[in-house]
Amino acid sequence: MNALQALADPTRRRIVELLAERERSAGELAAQFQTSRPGVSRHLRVLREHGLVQAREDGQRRMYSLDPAPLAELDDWLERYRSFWANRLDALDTEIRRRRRADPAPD
Amino acid sequence: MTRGLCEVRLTRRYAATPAEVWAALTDPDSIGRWLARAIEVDLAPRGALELAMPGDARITASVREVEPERVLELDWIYAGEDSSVVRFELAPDGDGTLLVLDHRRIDEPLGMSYISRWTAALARFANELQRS
Repeated sequence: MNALQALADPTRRRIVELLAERERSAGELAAQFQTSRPGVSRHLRVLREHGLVQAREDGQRRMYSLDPAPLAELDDWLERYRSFWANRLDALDTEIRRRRRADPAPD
Repeated sequence: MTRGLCEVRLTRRYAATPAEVWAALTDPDSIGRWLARAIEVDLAPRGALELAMPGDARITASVREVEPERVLELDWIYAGEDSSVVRFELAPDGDGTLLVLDHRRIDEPLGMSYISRWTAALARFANELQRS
């Protein structure tokens, strides 16, 4: 499962949305769901394992927040392929013209 | 399917017929000139494609859907990265041809449709960081 597939689960997406607003404790998050507290903890663990969420200790509580790194990776991927294909599609235009010159269409 | 942001989509218009664009798109010699050196090109249904990029990287692809002069969709693996999907669609446009290229990261509508929400969430997150 990659980071994006981890977000296919509706509870995990809701957690991400809640954390996008601000840092929250597990208890605060659990209060938003029907799911049991251990259930929410399990989702938080999955999100942490995929680098989407980070945690810090604050006295007795553990506070969770979003980690934007996976999205930066996604941006890199998009940018890389955007320029790759833009160049290739220009080259395809050149190739179409080349083939036309080599074998003109009858008209 | 909701179109997510995890997708590169480019549209080009070529001054040629769909048949001509298709020929340039799929002919192994042509592929070598516009895309990458072709090692293997079999564009039959479930056929395979292997391309050599400069610097030894390989692209391996397999045909998911092919309809000559209209659609070519490939499972795409670039140098061992996660599989993605590349789709070319041709449509006549007056005396030319429109080509839509769609390259998407994951083949899961569920995952895809939420990327934009995720992006919006992170934009809010970035604003939040600036404020604090």
